[in-house]
Amino acid sequence: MSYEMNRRTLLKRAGQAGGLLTVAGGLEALLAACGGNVSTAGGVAATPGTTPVSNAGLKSPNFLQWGSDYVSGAPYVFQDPANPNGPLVGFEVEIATAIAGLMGGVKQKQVEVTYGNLEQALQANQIDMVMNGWEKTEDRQKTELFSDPYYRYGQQVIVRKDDARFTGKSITDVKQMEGLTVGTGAGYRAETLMKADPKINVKSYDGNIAFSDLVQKKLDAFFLDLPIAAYYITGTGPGATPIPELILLGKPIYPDDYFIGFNMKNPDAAKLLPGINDALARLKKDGTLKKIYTKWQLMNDQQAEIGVM
Amino acid sequence: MNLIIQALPDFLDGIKNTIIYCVISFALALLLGFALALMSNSRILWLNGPARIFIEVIRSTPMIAQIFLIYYGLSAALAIYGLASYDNAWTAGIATLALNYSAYEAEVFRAGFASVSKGQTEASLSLGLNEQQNFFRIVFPQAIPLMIPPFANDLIYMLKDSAIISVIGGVELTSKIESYRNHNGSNLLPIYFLAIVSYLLLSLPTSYFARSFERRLRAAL
Repeated sequence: MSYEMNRRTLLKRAGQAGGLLTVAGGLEALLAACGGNVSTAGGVAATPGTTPVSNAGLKSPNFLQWGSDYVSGAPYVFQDPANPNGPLVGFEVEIATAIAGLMGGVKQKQVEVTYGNLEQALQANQIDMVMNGWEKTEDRQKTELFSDPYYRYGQQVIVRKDDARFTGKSITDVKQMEGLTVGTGAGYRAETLMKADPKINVKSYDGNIAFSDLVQKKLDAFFLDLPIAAYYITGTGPGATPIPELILLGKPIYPDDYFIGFNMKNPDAAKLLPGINDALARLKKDGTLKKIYTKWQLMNDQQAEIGVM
Repeated sequence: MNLIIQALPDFLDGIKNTIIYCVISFALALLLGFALALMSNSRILWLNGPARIFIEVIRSTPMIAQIFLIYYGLSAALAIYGLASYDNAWTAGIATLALNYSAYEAEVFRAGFASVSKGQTEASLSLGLNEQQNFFRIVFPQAIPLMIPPFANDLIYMLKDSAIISVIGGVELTSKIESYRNHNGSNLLPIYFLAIVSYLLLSLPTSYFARSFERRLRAAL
């Protein structure tokens, strides 16, 4: 079993030439701990005149090491295709940079972990926290602590523009997708929602989501998180090319929140959590989060419900 | 334990799909491999040339590249004629596995034919059999038992390599494992246990039957 798992991971990483990032991240933290001067992307000095947010509980006192998957991770965290050697971009990179900035002298450090392995990386204490469109599922609540929510999102239905079955209609419940073949990402919340109804033929993509499959009529619809739909279909954010054949059908449904996850068994997590919550509260209040969401065209009136001003 | 009971039907479904993928693909790979082996043994350049090129290109490129090419590349071309829906996870998965393994099976066939002693051919030709009769009645039957172990080996490899179909959204055992891993991060041991047992259930009978089949064939000769 481990044979093809390793092989698949290896191939994926080799293709992205990003496999060394994790190692490099560790090394850099090590160098920094030895007093070396290492430059990293991100990291803004705390605004003068305000007390910095507590950085107690960080694995390495100078780095906020957050786990996420940048391979096909747009618009959360990804490599700008126009700048393949530059720093990672994405709205979560900007949030991490802002949080680290409030801590004073701390830099954000993205640690690459495949989405399916984030939970295990957290349990192994390889990272301080997970921030990757992370949802508070029943299963995760058994092993993780969660921060306050930082984004309220919904599940978006995507269909072909010329598909007469959907013209003038909107989907407000998964039941309306019975009998259809619907694509989503492996492990996404939309997958759980749809799998609860055996009459929906769910097609889960692990890694790259092939939106071309919908254009080529292999699927009837896609159902996934709004930020992904906004980036890949509408073309919001750097490197995005809109797909004119597809449209977002109606408003996102099943609203839920993104949280930052911590390892419950790690005593440092309880120390770090208040600092992160403090930082999120300040970023919500001072308009930083709103600015980030507006830039990525993710801002909507639902955000006020979680205190984003 | 509850998790195992809950996951079992889904895993059995994955096992079923893995078996379907592999049985069809392996049968196609054997047919195509046989044809390729005959072509590459031929003395005619336009038969052995293409066969050698095909075998070397397939063996020298990663399967993940092949499956992406067949699923995404071919699909984009077919879309022009509105035929893209025929290039789905089933057809693309089976085509990739069959094409990839045919190159390896061709070499197994070639090695098998070459392992039959030259004296057999000399004797049959001097008894007045023609080349075709010599191949199908003398060389081929004697080569089969020699080829069973490498074929069984490749079939077991294929059972595990078929996991690659999960990258194009196909449903088979590994995609089921991944899905349970994603939803049960807090309780992974039962999932891993079930995964290992499932693959053992697929592989062990395969090697057992290959062995007994080989023993029978040897006895028959």
